[in-house]
Amino acid sequence: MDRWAFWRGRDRSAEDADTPDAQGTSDPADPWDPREPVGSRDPWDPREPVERRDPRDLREPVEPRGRTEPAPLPPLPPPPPSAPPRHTPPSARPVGPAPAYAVPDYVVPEYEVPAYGGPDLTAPQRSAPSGPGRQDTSWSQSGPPRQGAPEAPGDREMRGGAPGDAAAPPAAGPRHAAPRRQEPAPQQQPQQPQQPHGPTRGPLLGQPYGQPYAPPAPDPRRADDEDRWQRIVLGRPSARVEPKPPPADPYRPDTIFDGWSTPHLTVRLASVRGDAHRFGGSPRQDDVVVACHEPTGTVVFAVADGVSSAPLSHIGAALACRTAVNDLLVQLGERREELDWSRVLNAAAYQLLMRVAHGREPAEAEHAEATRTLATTLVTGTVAPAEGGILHVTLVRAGDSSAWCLRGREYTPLLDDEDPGSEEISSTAVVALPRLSARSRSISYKLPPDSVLLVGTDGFGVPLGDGTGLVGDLFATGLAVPPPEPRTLAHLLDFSRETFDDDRTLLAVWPRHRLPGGPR
Amino acid sequence: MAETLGQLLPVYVLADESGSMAEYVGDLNEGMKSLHVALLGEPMAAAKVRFSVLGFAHGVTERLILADLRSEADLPRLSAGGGTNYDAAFGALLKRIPQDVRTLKSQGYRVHRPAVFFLSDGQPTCGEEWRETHRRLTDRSVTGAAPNVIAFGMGSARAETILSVATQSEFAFVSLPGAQLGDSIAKFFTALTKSVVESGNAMASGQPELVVEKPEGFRLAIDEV
Repeated sequence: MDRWAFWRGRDRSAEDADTPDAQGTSDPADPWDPREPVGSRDPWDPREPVERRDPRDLREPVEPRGRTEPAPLPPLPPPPPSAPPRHTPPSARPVGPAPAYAVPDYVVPEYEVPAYGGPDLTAPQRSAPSGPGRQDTSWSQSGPPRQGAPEAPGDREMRGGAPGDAAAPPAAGPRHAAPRRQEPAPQQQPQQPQQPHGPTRGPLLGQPYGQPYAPPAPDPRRADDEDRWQRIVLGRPSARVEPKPPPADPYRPDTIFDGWSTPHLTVRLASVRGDAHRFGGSPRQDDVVVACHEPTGTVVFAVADGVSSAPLSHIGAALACRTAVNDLLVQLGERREELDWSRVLNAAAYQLLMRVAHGREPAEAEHAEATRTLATTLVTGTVAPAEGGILHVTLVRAGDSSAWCLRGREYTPLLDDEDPGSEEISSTAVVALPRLSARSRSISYKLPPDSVLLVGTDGFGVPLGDGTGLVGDLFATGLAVPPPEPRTLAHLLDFSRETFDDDRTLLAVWPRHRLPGGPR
Repeated sequence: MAETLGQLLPVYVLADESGSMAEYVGDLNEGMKSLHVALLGEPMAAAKVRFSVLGFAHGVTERLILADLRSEADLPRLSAGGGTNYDAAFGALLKRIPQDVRTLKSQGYRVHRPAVFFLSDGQPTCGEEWRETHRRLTDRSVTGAAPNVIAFGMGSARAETILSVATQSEFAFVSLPGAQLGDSIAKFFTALTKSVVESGNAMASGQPELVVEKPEGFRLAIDEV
């Protein structure tokens, strides 16, 4: 497996030392290394001055497997006299071309983007930084002028290639048709004698008209770069597409994330739209709701996966989650000895029927219509803190979403009643709300204080498998302790891996003492 | 169960290359090309499909096996000549499909039930023994990876034969009387493309395993028998 495909925070020379033959050696700079002390640093912490490898490198040549000796460096031509000083460390130089996987150009049908004929509006972000400093970019007017000098190998680094790609073959063209963007326009000459009257100035921006937009100088206090928000790539990446808008009503954002702590429990959650839905302009059909019942300190949650064949399943998922959580909160408020779990599922199912029946008693036809249009899976449950940091978890489900106890690097399924690996052929058929399975029963667990409860849809569960691969590694490392920033979970969850393009939703609950730095 | 590398739908096109198709080989090849181009515009679906093409006449020629169409420069060209040996066609699949599914699974993929798109313009010239081969191929208790077979009959193919080839009556289509064979082939490939794309996209979650698009100019075989 291309384990190093998602390594970050290292330069190429460090990577060379880690060819497959060296697999298994611990790299102190690898934030994903399982042996890295957990919580020692947050790979997305903007304060971390870590040099990162551009994940777009994956489009560029990747080291062929089994290679142990780095190829000799190609001789670098001398820099042109007017070339700005390079900030790329020597270690970031390329080690020679290698065959790469390149996703071909794709045409997005019926999605023509008209050509843009106006002035160059190339955003500054198109210029990838050459290193942590990032001051010396090709658009910056503060740097030395570049008077049309022949492009030195390093120039490519400045415009979008990653550090170390200078000798790589030119990157493949844009991998999706919409929107097609021009490469940054050729550099303007600093003096423009062809303008007889001299440059006119814009009244508001105070900049000459007809010149490329010159953004303000980068803030040196920001040590981060845009690449930290590139998707994490596991193995072969999914094709990159610009998402199409989903239907307008109800508003369904691409990604949601949340996080907070009660006095005893820490919650992080995220739900991201899958690539297939982004590409097809469909809404995110997954949903998640979490709430705290303060009098008992119980966290109540629901995770739903709208069935893709049901056209309004995103509404079904939202209704089911909200109804289930509301019903659980009501039952907790009634101080019942035991929660009535079948009532929770029935309430969620009934809500879907009422959506179709508009308040009337639902008839048979409305059952069929709700099944056809709103079908959704649901996992709902409660987490209560117990003595010694133990999590007391109760779960019930309708459909194929699931839950795990993550402890160390081991994922223990909490809801599996069959082993999908035993089937020769994989099936995606599900029984979903508003239909209820007679086998739906609640299950309770006491999870140890050094574990994490994970509840997720199959968009997470299918690529996870048994958790022994790249996906399992990513989450075992990233969720060993609660990430300080809730958005971190959304970033992890939106990993790119070919053929896994379903919506993904994941809820994680830790005992609060696992927060980095201890309870606070 | 270890980690899943990806989820795949193996698709097989079983195309009639008998002598009677000689005039329409160009249409077949054009159809293949249009399928290829269309799938390249569907990156999500194309990533999940592994495509095989088998031509059958007296015997069977394996033109393409488990190809990732995104990395194929060209699809193979079909030719025509010989009889219409259904038995050889289903026999080849009976050997090929379980082996392919095993291969993909051993590589770490999750494999969905294969889909066979069968296209013929005539009646079998091999007697009736093909029915037993076909039964073994499609009986899930005999062949674990038994495929769904979607059958398209044109020209002199009879509705009841096509109905026997398809694994469900809603998967059996015959061209409307008087239809031009070239047109029917083009429509077949259009429907094939849509079915492959929609099935690929539906694999993500909770849908029936196969989405079959009825081609224009065809009707369900069951309406004719």
